[in-house]
Amino acid sequence: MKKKKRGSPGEVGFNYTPLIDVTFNIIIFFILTTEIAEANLAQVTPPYPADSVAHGRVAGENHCTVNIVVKNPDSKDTEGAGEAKEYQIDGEPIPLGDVERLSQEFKSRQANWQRPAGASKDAEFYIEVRGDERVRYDAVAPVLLAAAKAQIKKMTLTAKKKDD
Amino acid sequence: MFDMDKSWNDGPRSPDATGQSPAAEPYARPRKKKEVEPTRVHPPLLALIDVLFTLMLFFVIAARTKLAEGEIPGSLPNITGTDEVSAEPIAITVRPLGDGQNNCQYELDGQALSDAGKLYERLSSRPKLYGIGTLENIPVLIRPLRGVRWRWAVEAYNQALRAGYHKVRFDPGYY
Repeated sequence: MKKKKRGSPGEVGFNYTPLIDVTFNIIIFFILTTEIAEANLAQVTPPYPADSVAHGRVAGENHCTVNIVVKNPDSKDTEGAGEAKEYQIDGEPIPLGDVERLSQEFKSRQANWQRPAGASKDAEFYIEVRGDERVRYDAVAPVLLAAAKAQIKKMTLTAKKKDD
Repeated sequence: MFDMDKSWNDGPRSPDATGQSPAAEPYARPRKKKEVEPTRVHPPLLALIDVLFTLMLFFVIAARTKLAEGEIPGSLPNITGTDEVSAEPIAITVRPLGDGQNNCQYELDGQALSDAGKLYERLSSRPKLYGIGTLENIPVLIRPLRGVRWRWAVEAYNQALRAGYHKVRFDPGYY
């Protein structure tokens, strides 16, 4: 019988290449399909009007986003959902209906905002009303009143964009 | 002098009678070198994988699916002074309907409209009905009644903008 040739003990290697390939693909997927979570956005289901005219959200310091959050975001509409819980500005809760505090908040933010150099004259501070579609208008109205009291002229309403 | 004939034509030398190796002779064929296996290069992949995993974790934690959210532009009334009114405003009343006030009804020009499509049609056809030239300067006031869901108020706002009106506002009397 032929004696088997004894080689050096085989090295057990792990093939990293497919692992790296997959990881790169996952990273590319995340880069393309996600955006960094914004701290000022609370968990809210925005309204989706028919043939929505909403255009892309604008990131920047020239506005103040007021989130109007529901008490039970996971409950169905018919189960008494729609009770607003509070307002949230940059994660900070503000009690419902506190027009004075909202107004003060808007005023201070507007005062701290500086028009960027080279910006057009139309560029002005505005509030973004980001209300859950289930809340009642009664909870939203104080936000509009506070903004009007703070002499803010522009606002935007957050809504889902029309599917392309 | 160098003897050319001798150097090139003698050929390989075989061991002579004395058994001496011809290697010691000046023009012997060079020995074949032993083949050496190419050295394997092992780049430090572990560090690369560490970085990749860290990047991936960052994206998984700090990112959320691209938002399908947008902004509907609008303006707020001047409640401390007086707003310039160029034309008689159109008022859209939004009335809550149904169990849990989950539905609504729009009212425009005294007419009840059951859905957003009809509201849009009515708003779009107004210039023909009333002989108005341009819609841009006509103010539209949205009047959501108590209990109306925000989605219906936004719906009315959206349809007014879609119909071509630029000065759409929530009626400050309903704040």
